Amino acid sequence: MKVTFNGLRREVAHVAELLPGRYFCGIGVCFGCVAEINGVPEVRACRHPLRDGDVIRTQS
Amino acid sequence: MRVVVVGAGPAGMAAARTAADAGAEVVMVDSEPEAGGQYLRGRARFEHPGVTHLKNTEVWMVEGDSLHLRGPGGARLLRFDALVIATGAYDRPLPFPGWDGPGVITAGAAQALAKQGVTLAGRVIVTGTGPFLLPVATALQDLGSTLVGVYEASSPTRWLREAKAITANRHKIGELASYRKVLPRLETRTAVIAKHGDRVTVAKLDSQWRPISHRTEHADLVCVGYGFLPRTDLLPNASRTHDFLDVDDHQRTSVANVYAAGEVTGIGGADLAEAEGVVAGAAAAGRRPPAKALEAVRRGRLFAAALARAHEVQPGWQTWLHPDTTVCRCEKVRLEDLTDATSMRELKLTSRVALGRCQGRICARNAAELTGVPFDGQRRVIAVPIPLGELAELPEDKS
Repeated sequence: MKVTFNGLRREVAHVAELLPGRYFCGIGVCFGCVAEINGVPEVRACRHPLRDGDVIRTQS
Repeated sequence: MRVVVVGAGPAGMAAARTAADAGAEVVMVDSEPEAGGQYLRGRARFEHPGVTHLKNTEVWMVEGDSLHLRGPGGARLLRFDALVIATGAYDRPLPFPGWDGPGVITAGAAQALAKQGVTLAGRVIVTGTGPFLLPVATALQDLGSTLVGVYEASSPTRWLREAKAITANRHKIGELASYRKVLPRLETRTAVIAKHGDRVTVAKLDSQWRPISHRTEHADLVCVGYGFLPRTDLLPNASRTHDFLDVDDHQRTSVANVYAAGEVTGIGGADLAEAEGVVAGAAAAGRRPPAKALEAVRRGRLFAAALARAHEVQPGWQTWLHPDTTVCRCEKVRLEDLTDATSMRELKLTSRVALGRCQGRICARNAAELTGVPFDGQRRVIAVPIPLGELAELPEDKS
């Protein structure tokens, strides 16, 4: 999937690849992977089926 | 009468089907886009004319005879006559130096990724305790990863004391055969006790899980799973044992009109979860549960109890941590930050452990064991974080 991650173009098979050290439980329990996805804040990225064109931002 | 089932894994699907077959109006609520739970992950085909399946919908509170829902249609209340909680469980990680860095995920996360055809690394290690490690390792290997090792912290001889449970569940031995490809990489009384970059410290353990020797392996990904913690958030006041919900032989919890089925009651595999779902679904609809399902539950529980004993987490893991090892990932609380507290509440308020986004789901149990404070189960009023705006828009109290 071709996505934009923190302003940079990236091509990844899964959102987990964008969030090393943060993607952890994979099933929406640990909240480590929380990010802004397509303008929606506080999304658990592991529960988001990634699509071409998605814009992902991690909040500090 | 309306039976609401929360969770659409093997237990929830069986409960919903059984209750609907008994003539109840059934609503099955699940947070995922498709039925199946973590076990079947989108590979289940659930359809039943008597069941309304609410997908992508989270339940954040049980209040009297109603559920608070959050889903595609916004926030709403759903009334029930009987409720079946089938919300499953998630992996318990144990902390070690480096577990909060890149390249460490739970075994369940690795399994979830594998079911989507994704592996994150070339060289992988699976470490923890319990038979679930084997399907995870098998899935990673099938996707082309190099399996450096599968490390089981417990001693296999603990199963020698469980002849009765094994005899009643012979089919479980058959399951082991399907993981034979990874058995050559299995080492028992072994665990990952540190990871720095791709250098992974692997230790041989004594019976209490204290390291007795160690070596270095190279791996990009370590998958960790020391058993499971149940998702019991919706019933903060229900009676429980070791955090799992107590149920009677009709799957009734201590809360009136509320039943529980599957891994919220104990870990025994998908077949036990499904049998419990049948019993709970029948009972919730006011029917006598089928004898076959009751017998399957009885046998399955023997296995679940043996599994819990053979793979009980031993206290020696606490020696794997250094003073600066992270205990709470959300709030970056280190071992040395944990205070002398007498209760979980005091520990949280003085160290900030378990106060972050995960609300202690990952760390609270470990923090309790590290400090010796009693772990009183995970009691949260609100099961899922919700925006304040949605709370403010809720209808006024009916009473």
